[in-house]
Amino acid sequence: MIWYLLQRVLQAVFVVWAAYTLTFTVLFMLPSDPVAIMLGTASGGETTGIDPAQIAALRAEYGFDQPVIVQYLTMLGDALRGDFGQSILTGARVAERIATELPHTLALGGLALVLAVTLGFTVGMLSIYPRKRVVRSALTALPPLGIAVPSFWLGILLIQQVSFGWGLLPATGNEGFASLVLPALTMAVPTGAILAQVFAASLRVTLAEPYIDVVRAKGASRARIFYGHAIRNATLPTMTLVGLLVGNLVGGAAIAETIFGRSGIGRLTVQAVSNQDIPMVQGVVMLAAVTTVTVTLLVDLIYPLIDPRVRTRAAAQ
Amino acid sequence: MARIAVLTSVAVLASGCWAAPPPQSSNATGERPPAGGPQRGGSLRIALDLDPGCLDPAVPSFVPSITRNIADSLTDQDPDTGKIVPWLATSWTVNKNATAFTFTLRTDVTFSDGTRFDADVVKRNFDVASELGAQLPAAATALAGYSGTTVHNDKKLTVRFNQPNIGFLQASSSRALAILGPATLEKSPQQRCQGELIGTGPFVLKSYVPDRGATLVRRKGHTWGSAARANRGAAYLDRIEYQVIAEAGVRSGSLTSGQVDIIDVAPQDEARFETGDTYLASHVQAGVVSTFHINHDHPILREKAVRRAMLIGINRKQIVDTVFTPRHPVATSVLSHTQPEYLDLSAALRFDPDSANALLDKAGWVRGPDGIRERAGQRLELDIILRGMAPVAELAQQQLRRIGIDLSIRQLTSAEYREAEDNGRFALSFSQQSRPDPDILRAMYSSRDINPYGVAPSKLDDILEAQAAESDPQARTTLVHKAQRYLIEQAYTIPLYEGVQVHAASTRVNGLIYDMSSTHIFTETWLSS
Repeated sequence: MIWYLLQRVLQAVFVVWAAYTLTFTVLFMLPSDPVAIMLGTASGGETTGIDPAQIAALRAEYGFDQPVIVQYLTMLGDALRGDFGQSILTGARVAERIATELPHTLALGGLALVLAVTLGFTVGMLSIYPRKRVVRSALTALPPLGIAVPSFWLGILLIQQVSFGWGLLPATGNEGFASLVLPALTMAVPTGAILAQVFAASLRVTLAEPYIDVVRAKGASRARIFYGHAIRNATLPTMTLVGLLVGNLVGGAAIAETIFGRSGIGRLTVQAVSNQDIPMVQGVVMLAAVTTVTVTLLVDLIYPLIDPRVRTRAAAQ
Repeated sequence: MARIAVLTSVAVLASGCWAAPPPQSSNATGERPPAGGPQRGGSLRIALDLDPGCLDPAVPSFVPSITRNIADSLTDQDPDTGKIVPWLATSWTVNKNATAFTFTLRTDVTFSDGTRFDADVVKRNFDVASELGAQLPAAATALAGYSGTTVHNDKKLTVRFNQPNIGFLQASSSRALAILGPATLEKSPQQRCQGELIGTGPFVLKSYVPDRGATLVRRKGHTWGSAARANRGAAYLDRIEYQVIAEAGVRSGSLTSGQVDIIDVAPQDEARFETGDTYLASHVQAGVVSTFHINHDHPILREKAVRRAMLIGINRKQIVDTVFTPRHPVATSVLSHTQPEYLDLSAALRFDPDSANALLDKAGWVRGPDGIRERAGQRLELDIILRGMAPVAELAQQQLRRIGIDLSIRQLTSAEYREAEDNGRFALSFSQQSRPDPDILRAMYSSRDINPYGVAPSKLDDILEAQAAESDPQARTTLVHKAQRYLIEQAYTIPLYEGVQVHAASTRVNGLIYDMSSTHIFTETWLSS
């Protein structure tokens, strides 16, 4: 088990390093001039004279005149010590900015995940369990719809109706739980829809398994078969998916935070990318890589708890 | 051709000044008739499409109004005449060749942390800006050639330059050279960017959270408003709250549902805010208009006939009517009509496709089978680089095709655009400079200066240099008129339309005014209950 764990952790470290290096390479290949960004080209585009000697001084001060490999190794070394440098555009410390924004996105992503899982499992279950065919088909049609609806459109629709129309919840801002509801819902719908689809399919497969026939032959009630025997087995593929969808939620946060005027990691990413703020992008990519790797690792570790077969197999080894 | 990387943004290098009424619409100034006089109090809520980026006035910002309202400048610019008027300085003199500027300061001014404002702190502002150089790009541009400041006493100082710089007088009214307190001058450029700013302005920065917004509160006892303002005392508003709402539809909805008071508006959305509980406020930017810049090193564009054909072969009115609204005036010179030194050259810029065709015919450019002209096997093909504003370039593309010029559009990112411009890899480029002082023409078109467009040496160099050293405003205006006439006669550049900032506001907002670079000034603003 220790060896298994160590192997997984080493793998995770490699993935994080690869993500870092890849981002650096891509950003370096862009025709971007960090000094131009510092000088404010990004903030207006109006141009007039500034002393070339002063520009050269600025370039040297930030080390942009160094060879690529030196810049890479310096940045990597600093990153290993937890120093991701400062934003080219505003001079803010990258680590501080991420630390400030992370709680907002965690709250949003957390609520979205809870909503998505609730929505996914409920709809998935209800599209299989009810005896009435009409109800089942209606609910089976829901997830594809949820996936097809673009989330920015859904978000704007929610704002128009719930916030501007009825005045029930704030349209924008970071203040309080109320401001979380609409963006979390916007993020939860596509994620929940995928979960529902996978869970329903998985339930269908499980219910067709021979052991269900055995249980039924033994005289178990319909509810007993469903809740006692099928759900647990059908949950496994869905669990893997939840792990992957956490990564998706980061992307979803970028959309939701933009529409709902919230600050957070998503907005930070959008801003950093559009301004080619290299250190900030690096910081956010690191965060996303570490998060995804950690969640995947956690899901792997939770597997044995849900599926005794995985446990026994591990023990046998 | 290695072009020096010396272009930077000075969107902020502008002055405090009122909106001059745009010519085409009588209600376009954004000032609504006050009903029963200004009321005090209240919180003005402004939606922003972008985070300000950097708050330091000496650095270009997406939202210049934040620092413009917390820090004052030595002088201000009069709304109607463009004249420089007293603000923190009560009077000034300029020496004959515009290399020394002596200011006499007010003595009753304090910074918001209680520190006294005096000649020494002004000197330190300029010294720090000069030392930090490119880290404070807007200030560095304004202080080009700065050689030092002499403090004569508490309230008198002389700023010196090692070359004529008449533009400095206007720059002294700009946001870029807003005076900051001694505590701020100790801070690093990064700290200043993030809002550690102490000024003498009518508002104080209470908080700034990146990507979320900023809050300004009224400074009590502010009695040193600029001579250009009707209200020179404390502001009427208690607070100004800026909130970043990136999505345009949500900003619009926030305004119509009363959740914010002011938003920016794109031309296509203008009409919907002209009725009901909202109105439009707009301001024509002074300075150089939106322009197709010509790369004079381009082999085809060295030829005056081609440049002139483009100048009169583009239908500016059609561009404005199609892409914009009547609030956006057609360019009638290289400078905006709100610039005091502006000269009306509309006759020379009249749309005249017949003459354009005749010019090209005469120059030996013959139409090929596809309608594009050719000469000695060379097609009349040109490219234009731009960031955004594709509809304008697309329309120009159609118009130029009619006179036999093939314009290809290269839509670039900011970084790519800059790289292409710096290395001269373009025929035409598209941007707008907004510094409301004609000395900007020297930075753009003098072959002895930065010369970003590779202009050949000519008598224009002398004219532009002479205006920079001319301390008499009347004589300087004459020189600037000459320069404008020369630029258009020689078709050095293709002016298109004047830049306009359009905002929509709730009808409860009164006294919404702008300075010359279209930055909001909130000392006159008040909310009706």
